Amino acid sequence: MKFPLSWLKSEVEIPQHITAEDVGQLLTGLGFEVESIEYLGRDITGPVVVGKVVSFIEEPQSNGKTIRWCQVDDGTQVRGIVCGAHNFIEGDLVVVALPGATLPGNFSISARATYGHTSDGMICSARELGLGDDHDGIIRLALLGLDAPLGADALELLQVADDVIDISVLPDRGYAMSLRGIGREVSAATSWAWIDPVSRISSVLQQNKQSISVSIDDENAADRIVVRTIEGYQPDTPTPYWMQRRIQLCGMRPVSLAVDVTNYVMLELGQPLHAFDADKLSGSIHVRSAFQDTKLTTLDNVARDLHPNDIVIADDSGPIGLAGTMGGASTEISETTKRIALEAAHFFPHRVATTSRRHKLGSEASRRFERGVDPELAPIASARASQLISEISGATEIGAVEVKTSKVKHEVSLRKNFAIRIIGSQYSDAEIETALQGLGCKVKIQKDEFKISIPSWRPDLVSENDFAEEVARFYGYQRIGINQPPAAFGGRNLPLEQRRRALNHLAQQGLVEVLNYPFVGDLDFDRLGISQGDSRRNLIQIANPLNAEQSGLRTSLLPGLLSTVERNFGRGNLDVPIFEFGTVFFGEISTAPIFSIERKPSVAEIEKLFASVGNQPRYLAAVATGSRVGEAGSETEWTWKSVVSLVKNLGTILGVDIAFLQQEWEPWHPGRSAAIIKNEKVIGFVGELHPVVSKSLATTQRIVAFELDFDALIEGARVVQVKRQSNMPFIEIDVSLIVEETVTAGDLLRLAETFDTDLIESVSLNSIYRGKPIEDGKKSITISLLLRSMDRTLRESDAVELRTRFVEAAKVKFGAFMRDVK
Amino acid sequence: MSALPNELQAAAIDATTKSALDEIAKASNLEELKEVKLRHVGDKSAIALANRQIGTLSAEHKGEVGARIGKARQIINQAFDEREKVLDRIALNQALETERVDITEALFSPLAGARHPISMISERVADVFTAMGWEIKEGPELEAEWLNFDALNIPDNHPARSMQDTFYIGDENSHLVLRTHTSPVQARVMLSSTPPIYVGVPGRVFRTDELDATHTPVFHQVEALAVDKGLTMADLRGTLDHFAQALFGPHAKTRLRPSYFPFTEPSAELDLWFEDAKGGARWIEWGGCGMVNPAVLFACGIDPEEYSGFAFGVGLERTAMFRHTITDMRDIVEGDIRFSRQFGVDPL
Repeated sequence: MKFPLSWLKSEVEIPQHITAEDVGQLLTGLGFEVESIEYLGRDITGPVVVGKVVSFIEEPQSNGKTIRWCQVDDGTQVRGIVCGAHNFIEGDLVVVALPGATLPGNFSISARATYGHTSDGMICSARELGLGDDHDGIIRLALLGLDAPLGADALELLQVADDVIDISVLPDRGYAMSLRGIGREVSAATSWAWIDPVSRISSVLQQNKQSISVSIDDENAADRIVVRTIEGYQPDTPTPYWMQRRIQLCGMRPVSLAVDVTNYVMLELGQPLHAFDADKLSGSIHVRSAFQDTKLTTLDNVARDLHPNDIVIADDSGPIGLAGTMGGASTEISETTKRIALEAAHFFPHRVATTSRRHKLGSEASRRFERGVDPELAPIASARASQLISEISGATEIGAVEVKTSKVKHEVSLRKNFAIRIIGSQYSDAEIETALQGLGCKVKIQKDEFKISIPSWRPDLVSENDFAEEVARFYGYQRIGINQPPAAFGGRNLPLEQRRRALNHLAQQGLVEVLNYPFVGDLDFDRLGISQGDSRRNLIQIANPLNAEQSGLRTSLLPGLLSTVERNFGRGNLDVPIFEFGTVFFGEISTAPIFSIERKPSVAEIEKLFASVGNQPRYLAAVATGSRVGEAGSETEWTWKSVVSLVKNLGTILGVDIAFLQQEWEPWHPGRSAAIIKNEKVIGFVGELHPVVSKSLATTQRIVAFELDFDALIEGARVVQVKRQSNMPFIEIDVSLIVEETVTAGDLLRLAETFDTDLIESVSLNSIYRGKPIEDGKKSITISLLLRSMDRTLRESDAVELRTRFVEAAKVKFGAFMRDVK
Repeated sequence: MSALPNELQAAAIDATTKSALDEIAKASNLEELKEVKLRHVGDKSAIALANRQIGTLSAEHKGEVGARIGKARQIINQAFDEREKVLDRIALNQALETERVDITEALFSPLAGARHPISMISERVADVFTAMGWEIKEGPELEAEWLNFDALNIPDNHPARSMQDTFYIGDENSHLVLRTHTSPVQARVMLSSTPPIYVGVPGRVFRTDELDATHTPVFHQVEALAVDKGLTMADLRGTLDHFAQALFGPHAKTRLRPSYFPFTEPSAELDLWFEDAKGGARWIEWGGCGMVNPAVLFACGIDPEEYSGFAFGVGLERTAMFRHTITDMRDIVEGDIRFSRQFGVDPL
């Protein structure tokens, strides 16, 4: 809501020294955020005066223009002025900037030589004075309905200087979309005098047979409508300048008297009104929902298809206006209008909101109806508008009709301790009474409670909390105390700690965390070479995606990570180790229930509600490529080995026992990938990505990656549980086994780690050897075992016995045989 | 009394001593010094030879010559020790000089990893809540429409529920959305537990905004919900001040301005006094807050007559932007590793 300070000052007795900033701060404290304050006219200094064009001569110029060499009487002398405009005649009163004046843009006026004359000043257009965009010609005061003696100060006459405050009005404060509402707020918070403008208006409804009749056909559209019939309208009557100027300063455009008056009254009181050309109406006026397959051409000359949920104003011929949003073109006021049907109604907020939103047509009227218009205003505001039209153009209201379907009387009881219960600060009964009266409530103080009649413009006041807010707001939120609530027993959240440890670990290993959007599409999976029919392509779809090619929710973090690698490549970052932790979305979603909030949902309903959102596990994944700079600046590449050990260490620091089983899985390299196993279940994959992935990123670099279900990884994880360490002497033995290439080092290490003995303290991979004397297709894997007993010194025979048993087991399980014995 | 041999006379010993001192002083390295020492106090040196003659001397000379030679040895040895220290120092200095490196080489080497600023802020916020004795809760990102809107007193016709603002899932009747705020977790907590409730909820949320310098369709919030007997707006203010100070330092403070949210009443905009703001300390808009609307408590099965609650929420991107002078939202979402590497693993 934008308004000039001068208008507010004419409503509220604001002390002289109060500035626009002061008012802005006051309104901010009341919950009306100041969007801007414009200081108009501060860049203009006079003399800018009223002058009369005594005569002029048209002089064609060599550049094709014709200028007018004018003789202008400024009240003191007649001066010659060159003017480029042609929209005036001799005898017109105009605005003259005299030498010495400065116009907006730091434009100094002086007598200067131009087109063969000395132009002793300038005749001004509206735009040159900062009065809007009109630059089609100069200002003719008569057209603005203005008259003044020659030499009078034109800046004052045109009300050039003003401070314009623009505030945002919250959705529950429709009443503040008017000078009336703002005036009440400002006055209540300051005790500066203010009189409700409504109290000055007589709103008699005089029935008359010639009045246009009206009906509300859809009781869910509106509960009140008033139509006043006005005759003898003079369509060429100019709108008084002061009214035009106020309309303009509020950010609207003056149009014609009837329209200007409806807009003016809307700005003044908050009630949107509409003026129809009564001679263009067929029969009576109805408020109803639109019929299926009907059309309406609105004032902006757009033909609109109506929807049965739209609310319209119709006459007997069909819709003539989008109710509460915009009038129709067929009944528009024109230069020939003689009779006016002036309509004011109380449409229901959500109906106007849906209608205007469906047609993407926000208007000054719809913005007010959406937030709620005072339901008592229709007869009053229409009376005010009718009186203004009549006074200005000499018209007469011949009669008025009103339809009213309901009247809700709001009276509530408020416990006296409500403010302290909710705000936590003490307000006396008198303070509460003052505050609520300031809003327009009638307050009766009783023993334990207040009885409050809620004013018609405050339908938002319902619960104790609503009143608590008003009292707190009235006295300022800064008066609210500061307290420490009682401490609760919260405490640690183990999964979050594990997550943080895991992510910090990856960062410490040189990887950079990223957060990608979870939107994916088929192309992402094509690029990774993931087969059609893979369950990861089965995406939960967004109904209204930002990008049609990524309309699904991710089932894997890899597509996002690879796009980010690509983006980094594009910026010259060729060594890219990144990781992401985030939600993925799987499976069939069901329909979620919707139920009334008037009651708590049942246990079964809550279960259904919680179950409706499907499975949303959190995954952890990393993609790395290029070189990795290690200790002391030594450079190595990111390889399948580095990524596997990364995951292995992750298990270690989280205290989770994980194993690796060589396995093919898209989009990994078929010979360089492993499943990550926990409790016999596959929870992810690790290794080098398939070369098609590198190719899709137009790089020859190898790319390594892992992805795992982090929820599954940490499930059941416990804080570290220690094993007692033995102080007995140890024996170290190496076992070299010749196996087929298909047997992995991991197979043998796993066998050793889980071997049925309590003598193996630790296991490590010593070496892998291929070549003579070992036959092709086989390799020798040497693992080292550190043997130690908890309670005795081992003998050589223990080691021999264990090695024999181990070799035998490896032979049975993997067909291994011993190479030699160290 | 027999005469002393010349070489044992005081003049001869003094001359020997002097020549030794001269040579010690001339020795330019430890090797030379060692030779000089051998020559002047070694077994075959003049002093050693003179010493050996003492036994042949008469008793009257023994004491005198012995003392003279002893003195000479002492002087020479002392000079030697001092010279050795000097030469040692010189040798060490030379050795150190040869080991000189360009220490700034190290500044360019290891490329450290880093956490994402939003994750770190989120963890820091969680620590603040935990330190206050609150619990951390998370909820699903794909959420039931009822929990995201209805339970929070956001009516069916509210603009936020339109497809211009909210991502809907599947067909119209699925009543599933990508949550537009972390507030449905409030409803989940209230539906599944009983007061007292003190929870902090960090999480990822979604709105249908295109990415630009100040907007992103996917962003993060943290919110707080407290429900207990007798909680008031003063408790909210106290918690907010503490929260702000924990994140922005001891000078941080908060200011409330009246506002409107369907799920709180009274409602307020939350401003933060930001000392380190570019262009000087000032109030900046940080988030929203208020007393939980009794309608929300009721819908979630909590008796508003017995309990009251407060809630607040702030955007984590916005918070990170203030704290770390990030000026473009795109830096936060694009994953350029040069951006995140500035943060390291766990910075302040």
